Order: sequence, then structure tokens, then C-alpha cells
Amino acid sequence: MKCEETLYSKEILGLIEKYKATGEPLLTLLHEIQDLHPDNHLPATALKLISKELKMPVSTLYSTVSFYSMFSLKPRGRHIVRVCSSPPCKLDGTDVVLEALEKRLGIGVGETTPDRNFTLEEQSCLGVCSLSPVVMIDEDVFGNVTPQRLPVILESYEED
Amino acid sequence: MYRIQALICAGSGCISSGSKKVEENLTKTLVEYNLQNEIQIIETGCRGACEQGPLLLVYPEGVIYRKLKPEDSRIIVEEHFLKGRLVEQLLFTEPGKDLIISKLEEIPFFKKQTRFVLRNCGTTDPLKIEEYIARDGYLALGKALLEMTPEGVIDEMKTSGIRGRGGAGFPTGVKWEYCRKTESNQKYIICNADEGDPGAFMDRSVLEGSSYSVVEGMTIAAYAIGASQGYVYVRAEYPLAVERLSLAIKRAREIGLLGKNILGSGFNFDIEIRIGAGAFVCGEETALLSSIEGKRGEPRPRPPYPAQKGLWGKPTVINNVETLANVPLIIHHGSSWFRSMGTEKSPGTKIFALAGKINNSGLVEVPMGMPLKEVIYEIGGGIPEGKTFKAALTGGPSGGVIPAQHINTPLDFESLADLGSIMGSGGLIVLDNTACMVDIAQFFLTFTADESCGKCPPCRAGTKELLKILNRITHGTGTMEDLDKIESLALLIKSSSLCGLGQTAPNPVLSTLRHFRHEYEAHILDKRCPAGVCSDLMVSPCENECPININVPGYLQLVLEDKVFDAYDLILESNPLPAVCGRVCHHPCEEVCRRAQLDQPVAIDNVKRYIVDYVFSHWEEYKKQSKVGNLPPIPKNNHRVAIIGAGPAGLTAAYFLAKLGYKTTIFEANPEPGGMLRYAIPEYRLPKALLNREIQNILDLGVELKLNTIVGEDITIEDLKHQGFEVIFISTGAQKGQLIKLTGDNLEGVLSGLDFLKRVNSGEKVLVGEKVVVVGGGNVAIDASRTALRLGSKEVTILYRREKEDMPAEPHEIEEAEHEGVKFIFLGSPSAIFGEDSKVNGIRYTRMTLGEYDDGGRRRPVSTNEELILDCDNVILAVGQITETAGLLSATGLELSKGGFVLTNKHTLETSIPMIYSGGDVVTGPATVSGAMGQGKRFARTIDSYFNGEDRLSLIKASYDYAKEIPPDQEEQEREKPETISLSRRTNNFREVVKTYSAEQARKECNRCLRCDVKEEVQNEM
Repeated sequence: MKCEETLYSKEILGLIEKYKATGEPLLTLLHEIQDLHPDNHLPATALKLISKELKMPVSTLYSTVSFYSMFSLKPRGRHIVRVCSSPPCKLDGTDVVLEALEKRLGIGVGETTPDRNFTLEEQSCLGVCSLSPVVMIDEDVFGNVTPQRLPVILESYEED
Repeated sequence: MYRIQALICAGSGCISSGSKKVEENLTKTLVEYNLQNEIQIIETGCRGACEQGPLLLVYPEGVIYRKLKPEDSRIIVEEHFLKGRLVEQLLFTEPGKDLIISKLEEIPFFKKQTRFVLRNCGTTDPLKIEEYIARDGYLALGKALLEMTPEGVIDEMKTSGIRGRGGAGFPTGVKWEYCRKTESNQKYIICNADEGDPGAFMDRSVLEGSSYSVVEGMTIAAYAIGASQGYVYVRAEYPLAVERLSLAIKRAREIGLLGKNILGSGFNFDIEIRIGAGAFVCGEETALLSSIEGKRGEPRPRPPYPAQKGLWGKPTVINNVETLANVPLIIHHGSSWFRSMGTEKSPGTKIFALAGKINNSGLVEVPMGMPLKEVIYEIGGGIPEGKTFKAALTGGPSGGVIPAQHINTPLDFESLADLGSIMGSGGLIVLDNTACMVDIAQFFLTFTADESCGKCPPCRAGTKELLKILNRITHGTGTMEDLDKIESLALLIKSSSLCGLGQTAPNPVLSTLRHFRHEYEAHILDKRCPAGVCSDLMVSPCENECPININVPGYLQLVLEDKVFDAYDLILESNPLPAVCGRVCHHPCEEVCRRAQLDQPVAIDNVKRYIVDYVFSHWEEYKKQSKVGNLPPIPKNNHRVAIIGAGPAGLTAAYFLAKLGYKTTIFEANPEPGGMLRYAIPEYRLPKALLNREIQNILDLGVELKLNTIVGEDITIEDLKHQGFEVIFISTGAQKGQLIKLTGDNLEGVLSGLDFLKRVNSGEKVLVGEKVVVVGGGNVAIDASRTALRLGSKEVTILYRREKEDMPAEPHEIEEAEHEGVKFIFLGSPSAIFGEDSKVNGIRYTRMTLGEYDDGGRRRPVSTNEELILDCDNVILAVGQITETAGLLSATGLELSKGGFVLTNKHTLETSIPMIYSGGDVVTGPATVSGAMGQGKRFARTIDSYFNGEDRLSLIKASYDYAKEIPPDQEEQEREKPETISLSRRTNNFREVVKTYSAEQARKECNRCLRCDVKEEVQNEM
């Protein structure tokens, strides 16, 4: 465990170094550090490291991180399932899809499955409105989703 | 050189529909046939018709294939690429029509567009800068850098009159000028690609399909304002856009179109991408600046404007993606070219994202000022599933609605503002009649309240407060005062919020309240959601849509559990005429049945008919067990109510009032009660014996019936008052057949449809000739034609001026008429009736064709001037009904509408005279049986509330025991078809045509119900 933590800190430090060298913006750095963590979130250890290295109060970092819906301070699943809840999708049955997802994954919005594979989130417009209702898993977009199609869609993200 | 170039769409939409797999298979199959050197596959950006994706455009022919599946690749290669034959089943068809269209430019969705900003989307490989340059890309930058001064560029932009495409519509050239004039050693140009507007996706599409045009536009802007650094702030939700844009920036840099000394002009400029992290408010320009600086994306007060003090305190211009993509076009073609499109104050084109309830959704680019109607019907192909257009939402959560009556509104900045909406970024969400406007407002407000950054209280707390009020209304606990509160609170939020988010957040509420106030009122006063969306206000969609609110899922389940007597009782609580309704109701319940999304709606009406017929054949047994019949009676009171007219409205009113203890008397002008049920509907659809039986059941409750009594002639309203009637209900219907002015309409043999039916239904012997022409398309026309056949006519023809699908008559009635041999002439409008010896012997009609769309979304019939003649012995005119205004209505002095209908308060049915109420066709115009019954029931409730404080309908309801469980997932199964009697048994008689379900059929049908009521109950408990 200790060893893993050190390894993780090292990787973060690497990203911070890159940030310092190229002047990468803070949000990009935070995205990258979040992606690095197997639980898809920004743990306190990471924020402390950034704070120390960039000489930025943790409170300032926290204020930024907590502002954006795509950053999470809580551990999340390996795959983020985002259900678009904008009006075109809502008109075409987002509620039914969301309900089916909740049933299938056994979790509510904002929760993570016990095996840490999926986190379910609601998402404002994904910009694929012609194919409403839309679900995005990680960076893959699925259109015209129906409860019947969910098993096939989720299959490729399920652990063996 | 390639023989064929096949362009596969690789926009986000098509990719998610599987275009990559299609492409993979195409490539494989090409190799298999050794065609890889003859045929080239090219990945392009989004073509806009995402719903039809994956799309494949094949040149040189310009043929477009749609909705491709991976397995279709083979047939395209084998048929089209090898043999040059089109694969018909993969081509476009016009919505609702069988017409196949192969060429891209002939498809209405594309044909009516003016694609300039989107010209490269779907036609070029978005990754290849060479292709962009080959299509005049970077000519504008060359012209700007080498031939124009920065001031010259700004002048050209100002002259073009282009206004920001991101929402507020501020003149772009003016913004640039402010920035240019601000002294600073460092300036920035920012492209705002934080496209957060729900329903808008043009920025994503432009970035994915034509990112070089944005890069070029930014470079020109940078030159004009004097910036050396640019940023594109793009949403993290658009990974593909980020990927393609990064590549475009890299390629531009590689060939010297970004970086130092661009095109040898000495001008230096570079671009970086900044990715958001999910915050809607960051689309607001000052919040966006904070976010790029790596802070919370909170807005700051303006002034100072970013053009003076922007990113890191330096002068900054922030432009939207579409605006920047327009810049190279304006510089290259010149401002006068740009001004040649659009309107004076809104020049150029605009991209709209058509989404929601529309046949052809997607991205469309049209000249500003195009009427909404053209976009919806000509490009969008109209509303799917035969529903009607209700409103379009523009501007997303900052915008408002354009209701159907304003469908001719030109889409430009000013016209939308006049209606209380905004252009926004061009999102155009189409709503059909199933959308609840209060729910929509609540939805948007939930969104903005959630996305409010919290910095300023009016937005943070105000939106929450506003939301609470809307919640009350959609849950049935709102008051009329709430509507005033909404208005005052909304104005406060608008005037005192810090940034655009708060300043516009109340717009959807204000706009829906302005255009759909009646829907808010229905939620508050009637506790009803007219669109059937707000689940707290209904049992199920079918119950909500039923004008008399029968608990449909309840009685279906009772039948399934073999409790048919209980099912009948449950119906009787809401409906005194179930045998009638089971046969002739237009069953709006079935229109909204959710089962239709799986296969077909539940045949609710047929089950109702089965229940009644079963109970009527087991009457004595039923009487003993009846739950409703054995409820403790409500004590009689001394209030006397007079009902004028014994049609469905009057009978229903009498039924409920009698049950509630009122002394009720019905006055009927005809010798028998029933109104249109008796005199208009033929025996073969509704046997008189059943009607008589149900009317008798009502009279048995103690209702007095005075026949052959014309109020206004035999007895006056004053007389009624003197006799002690406290309340009067006028339900005299619309029983006069409307006439159209035609030469020859006075000839012998010309009849009004309604008079004809009335005479036949009264038992009179009516003689018809061999050949009969019926003019009209409603139920009366169908009834008259089928009646004429039964009376012995050899040839009956219906002449209708529109098309079959436009006929207002019940579809299954039309079907039966066809089956019985009635002929139809569609698109024929009568012009004259002629005859000999004052007797009809023919009718002349004009052949019509379909012209422009009317405001209701139907194509208007227009004359072709081709005249045709039809020989006939009778002409029956069934073109509408009106009220008899002479006599009662005018004598009473009631306020009437222009069409002669009684004006009432919609919620209480009060007329302009105290204690006189009115309902049914005489108020609504010729409508439906259940609609009239609904009005009768409403009147009863109003009266009972008047005398008792609140109505006591709950006292006449019993309780029933039936399962309340959601059924397991169902397989597709079509509805049960009731049997009909054979054609040979229909001639020369009026025997009932449709048979009642068998018990087995009824149960099978009940089993198809998805039990929407159960879900609602669970939600109520939460």
C-alpha cells in the first residue's frame, strides 16, 4: 500500500513538473491527475501535493475543484456513465433510460457500483441531440438509447 | 484518380450510430473485390442529418445512403460500386411518404439550406488542411494580412453587420474595435466553445467538421485587434472536437499558418486549447475568463468589459465558434455579399439545431429571417406520429417559446425578442402537443438553479424560490396568486442578477406564462395537466386524457381478475353512458396509451364495450352485487336544476346531480332524448335499444324528463326561474348542418348530412337515388354515405378537398366505409351542383393539389383549375355543424362567440348571465361525445361546489380490490381485433356491424395494459 502511494505521488509530481515547464493550465492538470487515479477522482493526498508544489493554498484548490461537476473528491468507478438530461433527451425518454440504468447497475445518480466499475451521473447537454436520448460512457457516445439496448452497451465495459 | 469517392460521416452523431464499423467493413469489402485503387473512402465531418446516420455520400453521382448498418457495406460495394445500381432500401424517403430520393441536393432537408459556415462539414476530410485550402480556405487570411490593415478588417466586419452567434447578438466588428482601441502590450482572442445550451450542437459540429475555419477566423481576428495569443475554451464533453481542433492547430503551425511571421507578413499568432470541466456558467464570458485563469468559473461585474480588461487583466475579445467561422467568409467574399443574405438588422446565415419532436432533426443553416414554419415543415419535415406542433423553444434555458400561433415568425434577433424569446446560440427544440409547458419551464429553471454559481443572491436564492412555486403548480397545490408572484420575482431576478445566467434564467417561465397562461391555470384551477405529463395530477395518461376521467387501468385489471361487475361499477363512477362510449367514443385515451410505443395502444374502448354487454346480459346478478348501486345514498336536497337538451352533456350533468341529491329536470325539444346520439349516429354503430337502456338508468335515479318542450318557445327562462329552478344548464348542441354557397344547392335532391341522418334515424322513410355524392370528410359524411348504401344506393362517392389522412372522421369508420364499397375522391372541391327540371343530376368539382403549408402544418389545397363532373341523383353536404342561434340563445341574451357559440368560463362553465351555465357542442362547437359528457360532469361539480363548498364526487365512489403491480416485461403483441359482420349481412338493414369481444379476447387485451397507474402511485408515496 505504502509503495503504491509513493508510486502514485511520483506520477503526480511528474505531471506537476510538466505543468510548471509548459505553463499548462490548472484545469488540464487537474483532469490529468484525476484520470491517473484508478478510482477516477482527486484524493486529498493529490490536492496536498499540488498545493505544496504550486504554493497554492489547499482551500483555493478545493474551491476550484468543487466548482466543476467533472471533478470528484469522492472515489468513483472505472467507467463514468453520463446520462444526458437536457430537454431533447428528456422529451425522448431520458427518465426511462435512467430508471433502467439505476435498476441494472443497482445504484442511484452520483453513486458507484460496489465493484467500483461504474459511476452513474446526470449530465447536461452532450450535443448529440438528434439521437436523443443519449448516454456517454467515458468518451464514447451512444444515441437512441432504450432500456432494451442497455445490456449490450454496458457489456463491453463490464469486468470479466 | 479514383472512380468513386465515398464520403462516410465521422461526426459524433454518426460515430455513435456505428459509422466506424460501416467504414471498416466497406474498406474490407473493397479489398476483397480489389477495388481499393478505384474507390476512395473519406471520413468527413458532420453533415447535419444526424438522426439519419450513419450517412454515406457517394460521388460523382451525389447519392446519399442513410441509417447504414455494418452489414450494408457489402451490398453497397456489390451493387453500387461494382454494378452501378442504387441500393434503394438504403436511400432517403420523405417522412410519412414512400417517395424515394437518391440525390443529396434533392432531399428537402438539404435543398432548402444555405450552407456557408457548414460548407465543409460533411464534404471534406476535416483533418486535412489541404482540402480546406483547396476549397478557398486561407484566402481570407492572405487577403487580410497582405492587403488589408487591421482597421480595414474591422471596418469590413462592421459593414457586414454580423452579430455574435453566441446569444446576445452584439455586433462583432464593434467589439473588435473597442479592443483594438484599448492600449496594451498584450491582447487575447478567445473562442468560446463552451457550448452548454441544451439542444444546441452547432459549435461541436463546426469544430469537428471544419475546425480550420475557426482557426483561420481567430487568426484574422487576432490580426485585427492586435493579439498574439488565442485560446479556445472547449467543453470537456466534446472529446472529438478537442481532438480534431488540436490536430488542426498543429497542422496550421506546421505549414506556417500559425506561429511566427505568418505568410511572411511579420504577424505572429498562436492558439492553445483550454478544456472546461463541466460548468454551464463558464459559457458566460467573464466566468469563462476566470475558468481559463484556473479559478472557479464565477462571473464578474461588467464594466470593465473584457475588450478593455479581460484575461489576466488584458484586453480580450471573446467570440463564439460560429461567429469566428463566419469571419473568413466575410473577408473573402466581402461584406456586401454577407449582407445579401438575411435581414437588414440580422444579416447572414444562422445555424439552427433542430431537435425534439421533429421528423428531420439535425443542424440546418438558413438565411436569417426564414419563417419558423419553413424550418419546421419544409426542412424539418413536420411533426412525427401525426401529432401537432405546439411550440418551439429557442435560446435554451435563457430563451423562451414561440407558440403555434406565431409559426410565421421570421427567425432573426428582433422578431424573437419581440415574442419574449431570444436567438441564443440557435437551439430550436420542437415541442408537440404532448409537452407540458409548466413542466418545461420547471425543467429549465431546475437547470439554471442548479448551474447558478452562487455568487449573487438574486440568482442563487431567487431561482430556487421561483422553482418552489413551479413545483407547487405541477403538484396541484398552486394558487392563482402564485402566478403574480412568479411575475414579480422573475422581474427582480432579471434586473438584479450579476451575469447573463441570472438575468435570463426566468425567461422560460415568463415566456411560457405569457403564451400558455391557460395551461398554468388548468394546473391550478382544474388540478389537471392538459398534456398529461405532471404525474401527481393523474392516475395514468389514459385517465388524464379521458374527458370524464375514467380509471382505465383499474377496470382493465378488474376484467383480468374476472371481476367484470366491479369493472362496470368503476366505469359508472365517471361515466353514465358506457355502452354508448364503448361504441362511439373517439377514445382519446388510446391516443396517449404508452403501449403504442411498444406496438399498438390497448383497445380500451372495445374492452369497455365488452364489460357493459356482459353486465347487461347478467343484469339481475349484477344488481345484487353492485358496489356503486349499494353505496349509502346521498340525502336529497331542495335545489332545483333545469337542464336544456337531453344529449350527452345534459344527460351526464343530470346523472351526477341526481346522484348528489339535486332535483333535476331535463327539457328536450325532440320527441325522444339522446340528442346527436339518437339523431346523428346510425343504428348500425349504436343500437337505439342500448341508448334507451342507458338513458332509462339515468332517469331511474329520479331525473325528470320533459320531451317535446322547446325552451324559449314553449317555456321561457323566466318561467323556469318562477318555477323554482335555481340553476340552468344549456346543452342544446350544434345541430344545424352548415351550408356552403354553391350554385344549385337549392335543387331537389340536395340534402344536409345532418338532416338526412336525423330523418333516417327518426324512422322516416327517406328515398335516395342510385348515385349519391357526399361532400365532406368528417364522421357525418361517413355516416351519411354508409346510411345511403343501406337505403339502397348503388354508388356512393365521398368528395373531399384534402387527402385521406386529413379526414377528421374516425379511421376505422373510413376503413369500414371503403370495405362496404363507398368510393372516395380526394383533393376534389365542389364548385357547382346542376340538374334538370329542378332535380339534381350532377356535381362539378375542381381538382385540387397540395400547396403551401398552413399554420396548422397541413398543406393547403389549391385549385388546379381542372374541372370534372360527376353524375349523381343526390348531393349530401356534410361540411360542418353550427348552433341554432335564433330562439333560446338570442332570447336569453347570452354572450356568443363570432361563430355563434356560447361563451363561458372554461373552468366553471358560467355564462355571461348569473346562474346560467352552458356546456357541450353549443359551447365548444361540434366536437365529441365524451367531450360533451366531460362538460356535463364539470357543470355538476361546479354546482355541487357552489352549494357545498367543495364537490362531493368522492362520495359516489366505492372501493375495489385489484392488483397494483407493474406487469413483467412484455413481448410485442398486436391488439385484438373485434369481429365484424359480413358484407352480405349489412345490405338493406341497420344491423350493428362491429361485434363485442369474447371473454377471452377481452382478457387478452387487458393483459396488454402496462399499468401506468402503478408507477404513478409509487411516486406519490415517495
